[in-house]
Amino acid sequence: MRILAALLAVLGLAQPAFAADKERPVLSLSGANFRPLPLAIAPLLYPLPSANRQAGQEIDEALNQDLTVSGLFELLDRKGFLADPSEGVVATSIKFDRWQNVGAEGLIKVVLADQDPVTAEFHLFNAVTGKEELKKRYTGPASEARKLAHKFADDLFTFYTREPGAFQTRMAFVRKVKGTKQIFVADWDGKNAKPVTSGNLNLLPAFASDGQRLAFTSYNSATPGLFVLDLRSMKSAPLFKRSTALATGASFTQDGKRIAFAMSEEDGNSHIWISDADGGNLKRLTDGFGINTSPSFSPDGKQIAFVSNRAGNPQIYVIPSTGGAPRRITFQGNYNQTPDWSPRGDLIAFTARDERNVFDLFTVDPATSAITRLTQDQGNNEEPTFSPNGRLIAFASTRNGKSQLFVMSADGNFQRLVSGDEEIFTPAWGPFVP
Amino acid sequence: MNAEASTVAPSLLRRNLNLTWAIAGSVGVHLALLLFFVGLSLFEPPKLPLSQKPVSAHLVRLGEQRDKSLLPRRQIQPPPPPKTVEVPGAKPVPIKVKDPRAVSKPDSKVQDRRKSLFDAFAKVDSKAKPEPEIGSPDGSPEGDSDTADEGEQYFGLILAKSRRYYNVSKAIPPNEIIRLKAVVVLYIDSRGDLIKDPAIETSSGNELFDSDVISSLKKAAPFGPPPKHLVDTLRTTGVAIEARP
Repeated sequence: MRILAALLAVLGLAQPAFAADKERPVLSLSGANFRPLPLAIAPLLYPLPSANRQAGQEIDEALNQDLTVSGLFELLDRKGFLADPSEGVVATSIKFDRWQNVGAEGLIKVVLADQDPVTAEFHLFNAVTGKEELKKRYTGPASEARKLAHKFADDLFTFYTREPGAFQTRMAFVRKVKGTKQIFVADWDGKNAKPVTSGNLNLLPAFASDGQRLAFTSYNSATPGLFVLDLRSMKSAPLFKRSTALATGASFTQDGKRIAFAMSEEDGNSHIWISDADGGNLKRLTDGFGINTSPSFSPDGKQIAFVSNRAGNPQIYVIPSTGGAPRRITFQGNYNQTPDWSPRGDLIAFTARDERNVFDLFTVDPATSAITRLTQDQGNNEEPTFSPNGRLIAFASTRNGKSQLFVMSADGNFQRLVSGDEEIFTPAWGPFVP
Repeated sequence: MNAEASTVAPSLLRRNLNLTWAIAGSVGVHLALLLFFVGLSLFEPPKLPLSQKPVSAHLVRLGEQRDKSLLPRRQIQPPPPPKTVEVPGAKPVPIKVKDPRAVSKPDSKVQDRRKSLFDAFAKVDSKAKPEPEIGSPDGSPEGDSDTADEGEQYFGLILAKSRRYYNVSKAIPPNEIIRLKAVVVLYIDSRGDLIKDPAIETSSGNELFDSDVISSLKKAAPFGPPPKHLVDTLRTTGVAIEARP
């Protein structure tokens, strides 16, 4: 009883404190509008006359493109800026109210020094609190100035989303060169593209997860088929040295140890096969009549999405990578192809021909078969490939006449042309840069 | 046996009995406590599945149903109506309008009937007592509630204005959004202006969300003059905004 009395006494004493707290009214605010974060990139600062202004321009352009394409940021027009362009990069010297007045919530300032190599210092401020949130300094050759911007874009992306950015990654694609088709490897935005193959016809590139190996289908040798190119030594070798069957369309597991591909056989059927990355432990996964092609591994490597016409027309199926019964996951449309499994595992992007005989991009949820349209009424859109963080999808689109490289967010928004005037086909997004 | 029992002192027997009762009581209390906590654990509120995707519901548009075997199409806005092109030289067609002065005279019988009807209405109106307006003497003419007091109305105004400007960045990771909650305190003067910048009292743990909330509330101000009885509270104690995305 005494303890109980003591407890009651304590509660009685505590009551006025609660009462004092309750005097302040508390309102509950919810139902926010989600929108891209308004960011201002101040004009680049060159404190020394010796600074490389050409490199600065490239950095500025690359940073603008990276942040815009991400779909998470809204870059404010510089024409409306009120702040003094020569304003410093120390928080105390910045008049944040002027940045807030133009709607900025984040402020990026870049200082460039030296000719070659160039040194770029990036500052990210919270324009609302006036706090410096990120500061990075990178040095690199002037010819690779864009890479400094990509590095900072990745850092900024990670700062906000706590996920790795994909702006330092690479893209492989096919380009027409003097009547031939060659594989090129470029930055994610199609810049700095360099050919990595020669001969007449090289198609369907696919990166291994280490980013150093690239599988592709070549019709150059006497026995056309799958080749694996080492991007460090630039030497390629056929995956199967004595195979008479045509292997094509490779996909690596995330650990890079296994490879899936389609192989056509003498009876005209094509099946999905799986092997070690060096061609060993070969195993056929599909059987029966029909064409099975375009395999794409799930992120955990346990399943493979592929295209099969076993139901009469090309549809997307999923099969365990150890073998078993395939499960059909697309039931709409009559020509679905080129599946690419998202690194997040929740979606498979694919190309489909709709009732207007136009190719467009869709995603399907492998668990529920729910289909979402990503592109519509803008030419033919084909060959989707996910960025390694699953946030973006690159694809080839003919909306401007010829096939060009476009990037959009995984939900189909913020579609932007990223390549130049060159025609490109079958893009394949590379893995994260270690 | 009786002789042996009689040798035990009655006080000792009573003590043993007391001890037994005490032990039994203790066991009973412990059992009751055990049952209470077991019962409590059974009634534990269900845990929130954080990994579960939010459900989005849409009303189905009125229209023809799309063949299920066809691929879905995105709903797009209808194109704007075609602009009218003026052809030079084309004469506008005159529209014939009746002359308002050429209105036929009203029938005298109809007019009498109408007059008698209006007279009857006027008599009823003069007899009926005016309906008193239910509400508050300080209430808003736009108010539609008869019970809300003035303070709540003002807080409603703060929330309505804040919601209008409540923007949160898409850059916040989706798996964090569900858990975010920031508490910001606003100090408001007699004109409805913020006395000082909104301050985070309890951070959400995500700096971007915190600054989005502050920025939204700054944009929402001023809120208009508060009622007299709230002026002191809003100036000294402030009002806390518990913000969730």
